[in-house]
Amino acid sequence: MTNLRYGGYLLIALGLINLRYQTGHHNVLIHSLTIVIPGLILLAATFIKATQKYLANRTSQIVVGIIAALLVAYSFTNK
Amino acid sequence: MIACTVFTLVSQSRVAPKYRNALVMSSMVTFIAGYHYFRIFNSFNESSMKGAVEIGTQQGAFNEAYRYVDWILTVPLLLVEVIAVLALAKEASKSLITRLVPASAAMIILGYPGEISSNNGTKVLWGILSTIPFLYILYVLFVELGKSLERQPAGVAATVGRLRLLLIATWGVYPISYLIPVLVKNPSMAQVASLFTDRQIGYTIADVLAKCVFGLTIYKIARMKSIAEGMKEDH
Repeated sequence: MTNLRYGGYLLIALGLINLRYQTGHHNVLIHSLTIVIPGLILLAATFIKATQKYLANRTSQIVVGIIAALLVAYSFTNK
Repeated sequence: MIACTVFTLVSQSRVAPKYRNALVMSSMVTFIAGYHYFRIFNSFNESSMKGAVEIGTQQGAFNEAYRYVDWILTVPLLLVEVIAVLALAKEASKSLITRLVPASAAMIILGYPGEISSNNGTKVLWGILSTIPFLYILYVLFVELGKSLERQPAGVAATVGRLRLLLIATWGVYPISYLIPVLVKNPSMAQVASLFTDRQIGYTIADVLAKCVFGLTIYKIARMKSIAEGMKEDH
């Protein structure tokens, strides 16, 4: 659960840095929110008991890991 | 930064499970900083034209105050790393974290108005205000944390002592870089460019030392403690 929490924090951090560096660019808010919102959801889910049991599932963790990896890649490629 | 991230991630199995959190935090700090530098290069490219860089807060200009976004996200984590690697009792950890994290955030927030100001008096004023939480962090690390070091294995206390000195030495580079523009009165255009470059170099060196070298020292402490607790050295 702690590692998922770190993952959520990481996505929020990347999204915020992305937002600051591209201020004024076309669709910057959408690009950044695409990274920040899943990060916020993931972080919040690690604190809610009802969602914690789903996140403890191995399959859920793999799915979350793949989505997070794609979002990290997106944070580097979006312009 | 990214190489350091990879190193701390792949070294997880070389430390006991209870210290792995500290290494994960270290890899997060260096990854966020690595991403930040990637974006800094983007911003630098976009604001450069014919050998000149446009600096300011307007669209398309290079704004080094953006570094503060990175710092506010990573500096509290650096302090949490120190607490995590010491594996203190839960109450002691909580007490230290609830004091160190807000103090580090205050230190960065108070530095920001001075960073974006072009007035030297404003820079110095906010610089002094920012130093107050910094001194409080030093007090907590040297006085409060010092008490818990007596219970650490032989060699670890000395390494943590060096870690605290490293923290002062590397964090000391930030205010020096911050004050570089104040050092020259009425600078010429060429001097302004040179001061800007000097400040960028200063901040970059400080970032590498405070994040990578600090992270590697955290790894060393975690490794020493793991071995002291029975982990095989060839692991």
